[in-house]
Amino acid sequence: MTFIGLPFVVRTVQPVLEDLESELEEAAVCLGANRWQTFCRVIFPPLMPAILTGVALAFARAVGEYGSIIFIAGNMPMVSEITPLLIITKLEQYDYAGATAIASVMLGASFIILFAINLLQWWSRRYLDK
Amino acid sequence: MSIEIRNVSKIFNGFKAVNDVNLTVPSGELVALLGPSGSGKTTLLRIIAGLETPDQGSILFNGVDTTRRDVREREVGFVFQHYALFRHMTVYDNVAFGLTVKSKKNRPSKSEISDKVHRLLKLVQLEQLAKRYPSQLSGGQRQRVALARALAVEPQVLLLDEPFGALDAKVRQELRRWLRKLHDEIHVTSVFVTHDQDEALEVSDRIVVMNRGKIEQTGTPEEVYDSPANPFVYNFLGNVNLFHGRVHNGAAKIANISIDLPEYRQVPDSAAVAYVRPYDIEISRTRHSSDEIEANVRHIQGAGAVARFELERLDTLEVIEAELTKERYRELDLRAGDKVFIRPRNLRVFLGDYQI
Repeated sequence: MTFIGLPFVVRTVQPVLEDLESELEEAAVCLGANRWQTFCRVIFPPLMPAILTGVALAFARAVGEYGSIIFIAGNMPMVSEITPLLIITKLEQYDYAGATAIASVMLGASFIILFAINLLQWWSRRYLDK
Repeated sequence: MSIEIRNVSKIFNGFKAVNDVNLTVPSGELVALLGPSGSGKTTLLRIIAGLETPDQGSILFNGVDTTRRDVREREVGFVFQHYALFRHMTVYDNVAFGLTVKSKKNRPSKSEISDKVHRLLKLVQLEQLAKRYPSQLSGGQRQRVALARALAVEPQVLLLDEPFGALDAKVRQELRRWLRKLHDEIHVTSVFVTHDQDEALEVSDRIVVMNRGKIEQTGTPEEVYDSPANPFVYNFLGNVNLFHGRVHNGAAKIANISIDLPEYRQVPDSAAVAYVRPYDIEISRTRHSSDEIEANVRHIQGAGAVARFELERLDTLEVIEAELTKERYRELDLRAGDKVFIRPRNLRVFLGDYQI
């Protein structure tokens, strides 16, 4: 999962990180900030929208993941069981009602999480072009 | 605090950006580092700030060697050409940054910070914009925020890297005057980098002209402008015309003009170039003496406080720039294509065959 999800984050953060002027760091250092303060207060906040975009993409990808997990991962009950697989199992047992129930919970949860990420993103970009 | 630069050199990939520079900036002065791009002026400024380490030599603040001292301990304020404001912070937070990152025991209380930030914003005339974000400000306002931010930590030295480079002409002029006024109020030792000669001449107490990593001349604006030490400085500060000629045992022959030059008496024979400012060229319609040079008027630009002429010498076809006062221009009533006689005044002769 990490292999599939990480590129989304890296790819979205990379251009923003490249755009970030090194002058910002230098300005912070001249004003007396140490490395940690420079990262937390100067470097990280502008990266936040990009990181969130990456997380949202990776999350969306992860929710629908099925193939790699049934082939590679163990599908051990309560350890590495995933909902898409549960849905399939239900379907194979002709338990359409159960499958739909899991699916709708899944749908609702995904929707709420994506919405939350979007809200957070909107907040973290509040300073741009208002 | 005074700054002393001793034998500083810096090499980037085999290129000598700063080459054995020595310079002293007395306490409280506003000094301009002037030079074309690539002359090493920004590198020198960054070495003073501690953002670059010199390969050789040392930097002394108030006589104390700070070459190996960390940027954070140098107490310098640095203003960047492109402002380098933190865009996710309001103007207030930007200015307060330097105070809020101080360690707990040195950090002033919230109300002290607030007082100080508002005082600074008042100083840079941006009090009512404290809650805005940098993206909502104009270039000139951003640069003033950057200046307030640098001043918040009460730096011993203020360093400005082409502070007005990214602004338009009108705002630049305004900010120049304002910087001069500000410096007269707070008297912090300041060094600023510029490639704009007008800016350097107008704002600074002293000018350091740099070229190819070396200092060409240091002096007050009048000294540097009126008696340039060498052809480069002459060329760089204002427009200039070149007249080629020869120097022979203390006498120069430039076009039809002979000049006595006692300082070159030891020179048996050498090529020489005379430099003349455009406003030191007299123009007349008739010949008065044999040492005048014939020329054709190629182009006239009459708008502005002075009329500018482009003249072409009939003997060498070289182009000469001249400036006349409006009255003289009207009196002569010149048009493009007219033949005139010109006579340079205040020539400055340098040996060698220097080319621009």
